[in-house]
Amino acid sequence: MEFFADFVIKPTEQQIALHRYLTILTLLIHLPYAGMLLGSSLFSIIFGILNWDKPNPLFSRFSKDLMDVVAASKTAGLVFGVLPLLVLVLLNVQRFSGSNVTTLGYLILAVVIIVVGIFALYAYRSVFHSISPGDPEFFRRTGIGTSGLVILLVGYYLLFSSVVLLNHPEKWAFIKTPADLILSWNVVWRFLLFIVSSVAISGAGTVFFFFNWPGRNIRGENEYGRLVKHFGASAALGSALLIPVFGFFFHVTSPIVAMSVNVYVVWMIALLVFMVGCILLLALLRSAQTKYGPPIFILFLFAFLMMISSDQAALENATREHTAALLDEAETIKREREEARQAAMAELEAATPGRGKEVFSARCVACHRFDEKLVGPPLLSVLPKYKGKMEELVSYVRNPSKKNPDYPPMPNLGLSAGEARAVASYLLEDVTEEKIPEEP
Amino acid sequence: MVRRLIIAAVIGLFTLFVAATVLMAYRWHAAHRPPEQPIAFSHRLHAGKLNLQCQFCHEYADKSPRAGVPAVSTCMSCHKAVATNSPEVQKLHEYWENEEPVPWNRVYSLRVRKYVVFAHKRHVKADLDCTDCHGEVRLMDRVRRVSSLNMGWCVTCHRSRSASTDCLTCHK
Ligand code: HEC
Ligand code: HEC
Ligand code: HEC
Ligand code: HEC
Ligand code: HEC
Ligand code: HEC
Repeated sequence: MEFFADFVIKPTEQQIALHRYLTILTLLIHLPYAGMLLGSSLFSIIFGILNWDKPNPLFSRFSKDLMDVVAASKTAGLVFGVLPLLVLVLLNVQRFSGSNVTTLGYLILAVVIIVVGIFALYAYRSVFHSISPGDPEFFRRTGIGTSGLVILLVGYYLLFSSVVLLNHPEKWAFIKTPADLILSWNVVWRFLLFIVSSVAISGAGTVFFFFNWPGRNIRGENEYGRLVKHFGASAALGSALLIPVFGFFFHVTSPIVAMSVNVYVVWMIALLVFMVGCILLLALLRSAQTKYGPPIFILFLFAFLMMISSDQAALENATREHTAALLDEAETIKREREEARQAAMAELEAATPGRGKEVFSARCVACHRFDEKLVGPPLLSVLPKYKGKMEELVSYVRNPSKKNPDYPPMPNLGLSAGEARAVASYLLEDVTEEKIPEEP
Repeated sequence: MVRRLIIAAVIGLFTLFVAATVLMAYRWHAAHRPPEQPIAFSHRLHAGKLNLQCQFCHEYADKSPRAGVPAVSTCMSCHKAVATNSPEVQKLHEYWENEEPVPWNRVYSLRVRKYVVFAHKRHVKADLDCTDCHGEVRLMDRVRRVSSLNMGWCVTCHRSRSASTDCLTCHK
């Protein structure tokens, strides 16, 4: 990806740390939203088709309401859907440009496809409102919805394959064609895992948003309520039961470099939380009440976030050397910049009139006079040998070495480069010119 | 009754997979975690910052099947004088005085060396870089394994570099 390398500013140490937090933050914002959008659109399309098959006002209403819940506001679509993806691309371009990973191109392609998918699903939702949900429009509506869903799925498949590639440094050298990237068991399992967890969280979300969300409570409507509750809870339960299975295969096929005990532990926590959610779902299905809606949704959301964190920890592990290289580079740049700054400061300070004398009377007079011996030698006796050798005097003063056996060593006074240069130029230019006679 | 059974089944399913994860974590910890070394030797310092050539220490990499780890005397060429008061280097001096090799723990080893033929020499001579198989060792404080060393890994590379993929190349 040399192409990007030219545009990208090398990240500094703080930026790398910031990058990690921003990445996980954008994923935590985006993926639950994406999961809800994916799952709910799927449900909505299924009920649209059921309704077409055997017309039922409840089905068509559910189909519409689902999209109204998940694609309610365009702002939410931008904030949770599109924006985090753009941030993700920017972050990854900065982080992985210059390494020989071809994955960046795929990542960008994936993001473009996903954004198209999101727009299509919003269009699907607005078709419900622009026209009467009569059957003549069925094909147009379902067509838009299904293609949006498929585009979204393709986009996420590509996204995951590029992320999975980052997790396999061992493969970076071998990727020649897109097929190498896409045909990997690890990507397949990860993708299936994403789909079942999306369906699970959408099911839990359906119950939560239909019954427990202010302004949309349908508790009073018996028949519709029963349909929504049973469908939402069963979909959540059924798919949540597949999560441990797919997750197992995903972890078995993950590369060892990406692993650490943390990754497994966070995954286990996610599983246990899903388990508690499932038990509550069973209780919800049996009782006539819906008070378990909020805790189930929150548990599923939490477990979903845990899964994302576990993945992100794996990515951190896999790219540890890459990060180390970036840190080294950042350190070098910082050091060079610091040195340049110091040199410039020193020039500046040395050029300030009177600064040298000031430093001399503050820091040197304790031990030195010009013409008498105190702790150190009379300066007029030692300065001639530094005549024209400014750099040498500066470096001596900043870092004294043993010189004359008649004197104790001079301590390191911890002068800054600027102070040392100022005092040296004062001694060599002003004082020496005045007080030392030209050598014969 | 049925309800209890269903709940038990759900709990059982999840417990099964949590247990499987515990096993995976244990296996990873036991077999794949970067091993502790008797001396905290850092490649990042020696091969990275000090920029020593890999073959200065792994001197047999292009000459023999094994790359080999360096003898204590290689280290002592510098550490007779360098960093002698560091406790880690003092451990090195102990091995030197007792004329013992340092018992480094292996990071890379083929599980079934018996019937797999692998030689560094051929690979290093074919202009493969150490990083192609061992990752960015220069940036690792402690060496960790970055490749699986399983057959698929060998064959993928052989195919992509058009080296032989005949069974008898690697199996005798
Ligand atoms: C704590 C006392 C002390 C202070 C403060 C001190 N010096 Fe000295 N300086 C010495 C001593 C002692 C020697 C003799 C060292 C030797 O010969 O090894 C010496 C030697 C020197 C010499 C002669 C080095 C040579 O090549 O023989 C120079 C020049 C000098 N000092 C400059 C400075 C300047 C400039 C400052 C103020 C920034 C300073 N010193 C502050 C104690 C001091
Ligand atoms: C100063 C000597 C030195 C240099 C230079 C050096 N190594 Fe090592 N290497 C060692 C020692 C000692 C060990 C054994 C201890 C350990 O694993 O950290 C080792 C171990 C390894 C191992 C793990 C071997 C195993 O399976 O246990 C690999 C791989 C390795 N080095 C690769 C490299 C590469 C690649 C380079 C060049 C970038 C390099 N080394 C440079 C001294 C060195
Ligand atoms: C080319 C010279 C050279 C060789 C060969 C070399 N080292 Fe070093 N080693 C150094 C230098 C230089 C340092 C940095 C000392 C410092 O930071 O003050 C160092 C630091 C170390 C340290 C860390 C000391 C500390 O606590 O800061 C250890 C441990 C060490 N070396 C072990 C080894 C071992 C084991 C070998 C043999 C495989 C080896 N070195 C070979 C030059 C060498
Ligand atoms: C084609 C892939 C490949 C390349 C290239 C390669 N190695 Fe290895 N290396 C291996 C494998 C495989 C093993 C495990 C060998 C075994 O178990 O017998 C290994 C083992 C090692 C070991 C452990 C001790 C030993 O000799 O078995 C060291 C050290 C090592 N390699 C260093 C290097 C260095 C240094 C280079 C670069 C000059 C290098 N390797 C290049 C694949 C490679
Ligand atoms: C990074 C790429 C790479 C990897 C990984 C790799 N090889 Fe190779 N291997 C090569 C290349 C390239 C050659 C051809 C060398 C030549 O032409 O002399 C080769 C040659 C060989 C040969 C000699 C072939 C002959 O014609 O005699 C053997 C044996 C071999 N490899 C075994 C292995 C084994 C076993 C592994 C896995 C542990 C492995 N290789 C992993 C690239 C690789
Ligand atoms: C490039 C080298 C290479 C080639 C070519 C190769 N193998 Fe292997 N094979 C290996 C390595 C390395 C292992 C050890 C894998 C391990 O330790 O997990 C292995 C292991 C095996 C095993 C044992 C598997 C196990 O899990 O213990 C069998 C059986 C096998 N190979 C058969 C074949 C056959 C049949 C062919 C020809 C189609 C072939 N191999 C070609 C490198 C190779």
